[in-house]
Formats: sequence, C-alpha cells, structure tokens
Amino acid sequence: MKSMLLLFLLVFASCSNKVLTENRMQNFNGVDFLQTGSNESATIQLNMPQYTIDSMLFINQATLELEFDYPNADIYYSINDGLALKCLSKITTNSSCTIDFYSKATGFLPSETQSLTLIKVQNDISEANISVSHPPNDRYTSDGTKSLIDLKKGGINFRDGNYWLGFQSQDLIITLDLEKAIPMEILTLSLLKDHGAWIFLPQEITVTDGDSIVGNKKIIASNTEQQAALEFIDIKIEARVYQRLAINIKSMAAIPSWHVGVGTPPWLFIDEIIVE
Amino acid sequence: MIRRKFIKESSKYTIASLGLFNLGFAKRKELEDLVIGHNSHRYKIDMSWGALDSTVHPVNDCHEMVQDSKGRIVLLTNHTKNNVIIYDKKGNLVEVWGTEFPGAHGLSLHVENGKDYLYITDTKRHAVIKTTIDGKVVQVYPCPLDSTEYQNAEEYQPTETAIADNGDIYVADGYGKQHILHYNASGDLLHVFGGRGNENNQFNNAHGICIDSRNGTESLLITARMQNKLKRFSLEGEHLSNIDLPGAYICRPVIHGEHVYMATIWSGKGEDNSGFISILDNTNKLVSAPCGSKPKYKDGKLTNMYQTLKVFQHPHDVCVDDEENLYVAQWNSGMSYPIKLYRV
Repeated sequence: MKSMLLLFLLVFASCSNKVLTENRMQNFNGVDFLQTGSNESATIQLNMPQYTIDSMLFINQATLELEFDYPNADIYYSINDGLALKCLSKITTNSSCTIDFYSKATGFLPSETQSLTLIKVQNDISEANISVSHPPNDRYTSDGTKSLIDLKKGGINFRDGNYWLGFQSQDLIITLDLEKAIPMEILTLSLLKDHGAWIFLPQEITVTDGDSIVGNKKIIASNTEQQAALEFIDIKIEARVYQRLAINIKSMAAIPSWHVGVGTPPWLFIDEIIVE
Repeated sequence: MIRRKFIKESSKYTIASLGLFNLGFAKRKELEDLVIGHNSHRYKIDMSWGALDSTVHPVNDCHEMVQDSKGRIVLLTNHTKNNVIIYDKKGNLVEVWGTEFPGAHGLSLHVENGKDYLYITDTKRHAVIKTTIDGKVVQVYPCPLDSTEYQNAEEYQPTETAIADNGDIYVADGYGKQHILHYNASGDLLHVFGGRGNENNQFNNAHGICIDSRNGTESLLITARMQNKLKRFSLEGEHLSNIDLPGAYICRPVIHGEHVYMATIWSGKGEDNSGFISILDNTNKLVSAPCGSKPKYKDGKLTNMYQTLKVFQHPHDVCVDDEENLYVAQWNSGMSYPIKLYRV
C-alpha cells in the first residue's frame, strides 16, 4: 500500500512539473503559444489548417490563404523562423520563404505543424527540351515530361495525377537541354515524401555535364515513418554556364525493414526542376 | 530558435496523438464526452465497440459492414483467419466465418425470398462471391473474360455490388478498369458501361455503388472517388447527373431512409489519416460531416471539405443500424476494429 502511495506521489509530482514548464511558455515572444489549463488534459488533436496558394513557385509574388473552420479555433503562422502570429488575413510574399502554420483551440491538442516553402524562381526554363530515361507509371504521368519545368507545383495529393510524375524504378536519368546556356550554381528538385503511400526520397542525385560530374548529393534515409511532405532538394553544382545537363536520380533498391512495404521498390515522385 | 520551439511544441502533441488508437482512460473518456457532426446528425463516439482479442480474431483492413435481418452487424475484413465477423449491436461477438477471401473488399446484403444473402467482392480473387448469411457459397461471378472489355482476370478488381429490386446485379470494378457490369438475376452479363476517364459517364476509382429509390424510381449512385463526386446513372447505364463533394474522397454511398451516408477516406488535399463521415439529406445536400468541416454552400456550391478532428484515420464504410447509430469500418488504420457512433 505504501509503495502504491509513493508511486502515485511520484506520478503526481511529474505531472505538476509539466504544468509549470508549460505555464512558463505562455507569452512566449508576446504570443500565447500554448494554452495550458484545459488543453493540458486534452487528448484529441485538431487537424492542420487547409491552405490554398496561387503558386509555390513564383516570378513576382505568392499569396497564401489559410482556413480552419472549427468553433473557437485559431490559426498561427510564422515566416522564416520569425514570430508566431495569429492569422487574420491572406499572407503575401515577394521573396522565397518558409511558412509554418498550425491550428489551435481550447480543449484540444494543437494540430501538427504544416511547413510550406515558397520559391521565387529566377530562371524560366519552360522552353527547354527535357526527356527521361524511362516513362513514369501510367497512373502518374501528369502532362508528360514538360510538366517538370512548367512552374506548376503539385501538392500532397499526388493521386489526382495532375502534377506529379511517379516512377517505381531504381535509377532515373532526366536530361535537360536549354534553349541557350545560362549561368547556374544550384539545381533544385521538387520531390514528394509520403511514406504511408510508399513514396520515398532518393538516396543519391548526381548531375553531369557531358562526362563530367558537376554536382552530387546523398540523402540520408529516415529510419522511421515521417509525415508526408513536399521537399525541395538543392544540389550545389560547379558555378558556371550550362546548356545541357543530365540528372541521375538513384532510389533505394527496396523499402527498408521498418516499413510495412519492406523489400519492394519505393516510389519516386517529382514535379519540378528549378535552376538558379 | 523560435522556429525550433514552434516545431518542438507542435511535434510534442503529434507524438501524443499517435497514441490515439492505443486508448488510455483519459482519451476514451474525452471521446465519450465529445459530440461530433452538425445539424440533425450528431453523434457520440465509442472507440472500443467491437474490440476483440486480436490473437484470436484478428482484422487487417475493416472494409465494409452491413446489418442483417436479425439486427446483427456483419463486418468484412481481408484477414483470412476470419473474413466475416458478426457482432450484436453492443459489439459482442456472435460468430465468425470465412478464410478464402484474401482480397475481401465489398459487402452488400440482399434479401431474397425472406433469406439474407451476402455479395462479397474480392479484388485478389478477381471475382464476386454470393454466400448465405452463414457463409455457404451460392454463386461465383468471375472476371467476364468473354466480354470484350477484359483480356485477363487480373484486370478485374471489383470493389462493390448493388442489387436492384428485380434481382439484377451491378458490379463496380473500382480498382480495375472502372467499368460497371450489369448482370441479370441468373448471372448473365447484360451490359457494361463506364470505364476509366474524366467524362461524366466515366470514372476514376468507381469505388462504390448503390441503388437509390428515394424518389420512387430506382437509379444508381456510383462513387467517382478521385473525382470527389457521386454520379447518378439510370439502371440501363445512362449518365444522369453528378453530386459534387469537393475535398471528400468518398467510398461507397449507403442509403438509409432519406439520407446518404459515406465514409470519406481522405479529405482536403488527400492527406493520409484525414478521414471523416459525410451525410447528405434528401436533396443530396451535405447536412452533417462528423469530424469534418461544417457544411457550407457558396453560390449554391459546396465549399471544400476537410477533416477538423483527428478521431478517424481512414474510414472505409458506414453501416447505419435500425436505431440510426453508425458503425465505421476503417482501412489501413492499425488493424483496429470498427468504431460505433451513437446518434444524439
């Protein structure tokens, strides 16, 4: 009986400490970040706000609208690690940035944080010739290879087949032949990660100009299932002028052992290539 | 630094929420107190309904459920240890049967001469199997290779059936070539329509089908899941109209009284674990969306639907019982048993 009482007191003390810690985080940078009290005991989580954006890749400016219609719920956002603010209207940017946002309401756990990266594009390469070493799966062809350079960004929903090219093979080579040579130092691939749908990031990307390797990036594979996300992978390339590049994307041979799809080839989803 | 805290705080709650389906007392209590839904259709949640010893009576995906003439709740799962699990309405186990349906997906009940029959679609056997309520196979409808639409059985992955008053059977090939196959009561293939595509008379994921006789004449309501639509066809296969449900990736329509109930497996932008329930009234307007956003029409059009509360993961079917309570079967949701919603 005594030991049970001791156990209860230990648990109680540990809970009390948690409340104190979170109370101190109120008024964090002037923003009531976490409502403690009723939320402290909450166990049901809100979903993330819904977003619409005119373009995640833009020439002049991009406008983001956030919505979450639940009684007494608010949306909070921050831009480039800045102050968290309550969202009251549309968010407009004229420069590349990352915007994080989530929903919150008394009595519920806040939602997960959605993070969006918006990119101001310097080079319009939509007139380039582009080809792939083998065709995408019939279900995920978008409008063909040209959709990789049309500045139209796909969302998390790859299933509508509108923006993403989906491949299920270990190696993919994309050849980019520009109208004229332009200076470059970064090549960016816009990829989808959705472990629940067996879509994984590749393990290595190599960029070549003729026989010369001008850029290479290795990606460390995750060993746990992660939230679906839109990923921009930057590959630094030798800074000079290029007209024709080959991008060799090497996927994992098989889905790793921690995943339910262990042993089968992962999917690769790509929707845009950007050069800067 | 600020951003790290921002992420840190929200991820803490993400980790907490992963325990949703491994329910502790606090969560169970909170779910019991919560009322979900809108307008005339609001519900309390029982996450523990139908939970069994998974070492004895396991489930994989819980695909569909129906209520039989005895008032029992019949669940179809693709676990071949017990493809069919029959409960009473309280969630007590009554009986199990079925070991030969590896792709068990669609479950429809039809009463013929006072006897209950089940129509099971199996996406791996590429067939529809008609059984008695206790599991005796009565008839098998294989891939119709003698039609011009199919060259091999693998092309045919039926997801749902609907049976008309005259005994005609309609099969939705929702994971195959997106055709609707129309058989007479004797099993003769009469007609094939639909097919993959974006036209009004075509489908992208013809996942569910039912007979709608709410206005006195029978027509077909067929899911075009990836198009976020229900499509209405005549029994002869002529496209009549569409019901737009933007943002709702609906499974099959279930008609009970004057309402249409649909499990919505994904929502919004199609994220995983973003499901809820959609309920349409007798004018096919969204009247309630338990765990979804409040029904909102703008200029006569339904605005985009999305999940608000993370209670469901991937709802795959809704069964409405004779007391207006709902049973929600879920796909790819941690091998969890169905959830019951009590109408309030």
